[in-house]
Amino acid sequence: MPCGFSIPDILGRVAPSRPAILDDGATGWIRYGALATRVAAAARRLACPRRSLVFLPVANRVDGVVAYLGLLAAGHVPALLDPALPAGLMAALAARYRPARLIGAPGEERLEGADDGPILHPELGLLLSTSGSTGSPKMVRLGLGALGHNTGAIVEALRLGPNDRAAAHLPLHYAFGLSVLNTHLAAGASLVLTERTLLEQGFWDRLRDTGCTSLAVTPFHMEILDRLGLDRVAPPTLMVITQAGGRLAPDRAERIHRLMAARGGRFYVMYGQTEAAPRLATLPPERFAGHAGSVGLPLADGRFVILDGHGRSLPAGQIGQVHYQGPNVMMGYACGPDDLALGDVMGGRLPTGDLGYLDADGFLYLTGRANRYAKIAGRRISLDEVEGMAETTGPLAVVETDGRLLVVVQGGDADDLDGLRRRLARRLRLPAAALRTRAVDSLPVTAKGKVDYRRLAEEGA
Amino acid sequence: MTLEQDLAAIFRDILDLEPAVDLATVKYRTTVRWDSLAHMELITAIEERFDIVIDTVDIVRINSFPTAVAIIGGKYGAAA
Repeated sequence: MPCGFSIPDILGRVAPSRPAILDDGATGWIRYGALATRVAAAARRLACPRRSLVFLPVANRVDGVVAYLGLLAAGHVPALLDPALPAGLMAALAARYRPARLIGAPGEERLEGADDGPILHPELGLLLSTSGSTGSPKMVRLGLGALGHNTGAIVEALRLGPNDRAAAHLPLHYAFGLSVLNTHLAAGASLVLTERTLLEQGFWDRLRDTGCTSLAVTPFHMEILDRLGLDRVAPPTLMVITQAGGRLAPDRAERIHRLMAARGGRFYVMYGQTEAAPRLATLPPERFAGHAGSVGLPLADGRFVILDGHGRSLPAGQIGQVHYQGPNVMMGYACGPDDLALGDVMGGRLPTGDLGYLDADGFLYLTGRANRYAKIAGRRISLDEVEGMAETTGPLAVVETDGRLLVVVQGGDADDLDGLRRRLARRLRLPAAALRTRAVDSLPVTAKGKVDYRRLAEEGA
Repeated sequence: MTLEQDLAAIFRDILDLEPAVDLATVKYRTTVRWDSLAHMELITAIEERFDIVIDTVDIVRINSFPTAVAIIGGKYGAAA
């Protein structure tokens, strides 16, 4: 399995006439030869004597991809960010991290202020946010080796090849979306970048017109596909669906597996997190039967261990904390500029924050979360931080149920709760529908006197 | 209440719109609060209110208030 992540190598080994990328505005394919030329030109323009941290707000467009690849080729460390991040949050992040500034029109970008940025560790490849919704400045430090290894492992696990064509709708600043780009380029395949969503006629028209073969989705997108009906919208060329970004209900997984099998296609359940560059495991279609509900086996060179609360390894069948060991684990987090000089603090070991067990064949089943993060419409949200944001007179608890946030308030009244729901939604930049509220006489507590989050989540489902 | 008023109430509630917002201007994805999650909730709320099941082709076609009124009133013959 190759390590390192060389953009010129990745682009250079594909025949120049092969199609590479397309976006909503493009009239024709940008082929690998043209892409390599544009990226090389960008790298020359962005070259500096000193490696720099560069914030890159990136949309799913060709110029965004060229800027990302150009920055990597120039040896800089991009921090890929959501272009819709509120200006205030962006400014605060920039004030904290002191990145070099990308200036100029798309296709003509240069760097400014590259001289007084933070010191970067030589293995640091890129930064991704953990959760932009609450304004947290915490970033994940990914090494080039980890990215390169995971890219190769995914290509191998999904059997990606040059004839694959991704419907690239997942945001590029999201680890899952970025890995779709990295893996398809590494395989010499093509990508139809789009900012359209599965709920638009134009999205499905585009997939059909361009003959897309693969689609990556989160559980929320699966909810949409269930509602629309896969066979109603998916063109016959769509042969591969991969799902990650949260736990998929087993019955939904069975349905999609059956529908894909019926059309001679493949459905891969995947498990990952930004901290793993990003994918950890996959359940391939040929192993689906008998393992419904599992997220499968670890990708190449990775392994899972299940630990109890004291860090002791548990045998198959017993539920504990899921830990992962492998070459794709992050170097660590960064909370500020000084952390960017740090090397690898993880040693290839990642506590995933999830609970689960391994069966006798080593298949991983996830049963819950040990930490307090939720995936809402694909976005990662800290439940404790949401609790902190809610101003109520009584005690409250926030849990995730069914892909929505549930705010349980002790002694709340209906009008107060509705107002709270809307205020929180606005602050989190979520639709009001993503939050539900409930009033209770008293919050359930565990034997230790802490809020019984598990019970609240179960009751709310 | 007319169909339009009924739908307007649903839109304003689900999309959490300020009273001053003109419904003629809201569009899926352009209007910040009308994202995919809100759209799914909107469709569900309309279905429940009028006791209908909205076709896939219409789920992906309803992207503004006027199209919702035209489609729900027209194809589904929904009345308030």
